[in-house]
Amino acid sequence: MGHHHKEVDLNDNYTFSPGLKKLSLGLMVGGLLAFIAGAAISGNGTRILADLLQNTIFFTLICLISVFFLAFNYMANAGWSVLVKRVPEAISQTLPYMAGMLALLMIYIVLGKRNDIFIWLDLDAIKNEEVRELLEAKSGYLNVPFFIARILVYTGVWSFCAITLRKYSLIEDQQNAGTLKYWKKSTWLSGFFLVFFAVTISTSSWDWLMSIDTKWYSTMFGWYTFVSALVSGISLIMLVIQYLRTQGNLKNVTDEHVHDIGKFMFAFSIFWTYLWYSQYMLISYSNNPEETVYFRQRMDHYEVLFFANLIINFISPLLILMTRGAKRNAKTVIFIGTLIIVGHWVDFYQMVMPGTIGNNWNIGLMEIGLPIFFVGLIINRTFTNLEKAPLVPKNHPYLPESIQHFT
Amino acid sequence: MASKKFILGIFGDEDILLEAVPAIQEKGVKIHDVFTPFPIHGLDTAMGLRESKLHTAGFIFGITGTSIAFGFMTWANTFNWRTNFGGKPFWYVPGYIPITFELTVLMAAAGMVATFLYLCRLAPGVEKHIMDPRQTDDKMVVAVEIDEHSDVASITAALKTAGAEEVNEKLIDNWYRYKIM
Repeated sequence: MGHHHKEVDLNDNYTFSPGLKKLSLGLMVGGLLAFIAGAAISGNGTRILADLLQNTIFFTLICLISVFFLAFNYMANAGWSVLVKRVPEAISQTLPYMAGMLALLMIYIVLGKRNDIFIWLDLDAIKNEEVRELLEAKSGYLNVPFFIARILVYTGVWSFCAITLRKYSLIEDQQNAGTLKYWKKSTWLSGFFLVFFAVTISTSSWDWLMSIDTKWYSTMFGWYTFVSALVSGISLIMLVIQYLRTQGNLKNVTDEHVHDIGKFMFAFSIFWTYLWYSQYMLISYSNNPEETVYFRQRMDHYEVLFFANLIINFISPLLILMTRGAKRNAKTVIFIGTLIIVGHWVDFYQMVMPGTIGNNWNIGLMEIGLPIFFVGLIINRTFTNLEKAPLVPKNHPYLPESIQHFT
Repeated sequence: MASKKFILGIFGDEDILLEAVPAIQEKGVKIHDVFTPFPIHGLDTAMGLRESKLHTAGFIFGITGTSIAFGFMTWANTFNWRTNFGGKPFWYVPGYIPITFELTVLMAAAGMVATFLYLCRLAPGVEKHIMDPRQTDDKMVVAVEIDEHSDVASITAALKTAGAEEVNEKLIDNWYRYKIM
């Protein structure tokens, strides 16, 4: 393959710059203080819990998507992604922290019988006979012990897969070149993870998000939440890659790799819209009051967010990312990546809030502070883990393929 | 009845070909086209081809489909023949989306196929030009167009030094002929 031979420098180590470390800690402290101040000012327990719920779920799922990214690339025998693989690996190491917080929060909510968040937690408090009967029929699934068991299994297995895939990848670096043992192990684990993930990403979104509006249900909901998280998670991977490239790292990553991730961002934005529309369309067309109430409330009282959701998450990626040049342009993908993450945060906001705090919503210190805290946490954990290992997995069997990759 | 004359460099290996193409061009020889039995990654960049405009055509065809579908349903349901479907508004945009989407995809796809056939001279009735029958089997053909002013010797030398296994001449009569099937 004479033509493809180029001098390749595989030494690529990242050092967490003190400036960025300070920034990440600053974001965490500042965000947390803003959250506490906002919570103290508002004093509304439901709003505080709903805010915590929304942000913890959103950022947990974003980190989870990095594990998914690694897993589907292993399962598909994908070669192109090897050079960027250390980025999702590092992001996924935040997952255990996020999942731990999420599990604690959920257990606090269900053991505290917070029926302002999940009305199914306290059936006796429901006055309406019909609603109570409906929820009693669902209590085989929506009950406290099973709920707690489920969340422990989800967060436990997800975190296990995140940690183990990373561990295998680092052990592979220490092995002799050409040893496939840990690559095979990673592929098997990825297969297990994908099957587990396929089921649990749906059930977890029913548990944590759809059960807020307990009487309402949608068969699209699991997919919808999944893709919302997927497109944000891919955007996060893109942002970290772009940052590393500005620091002179990831020297072998070219516009071709960036282009492929850009395609993911574009395609999954369209796919998100497809699911959004499928959910909306069926309910709108059949016009059953018990189903339309979900959208009625959002369109009447969350009008700005409802339409902003579509404009930010569909129209913008569609128009901005459509051309080939845009997907390869660092500034464009950084801009649209940030926009997508903010947009899907808004999406999760309007999934959680109408069913919990009701129609009087307000984005204050608390709603802004908490995501800032989580962003700081993710930056801190991600770049700490990027520093720990070389950025090129030198013994990965598909590394040469990734170096030659072009679209 | 225009006829065209070519010098063909026959190559047997894509790695040699990928290095040969820029080397030939560096000597000032303008390559008409390269014919290969399978797609070769990187050949278009090596040849210095500009980006295909096919997707722009696709976008225009697509947006045409969008406008036709959306426009027609709007006209029919709101102005021409108002019908009450389950109490929905006459101008019921969410209900128009599936058909609008389908027609967008249909027109973009069909339009792009037609454009592609036109650009590649593959449309029914167009005379197809085969430089060398082996270009569909195991050889790659670099075609250089020549006329009476061309320096045939130096082109042949450039192809040979770049690694061509053999160099042939090919005359194609009736380049622009269309025949009825």
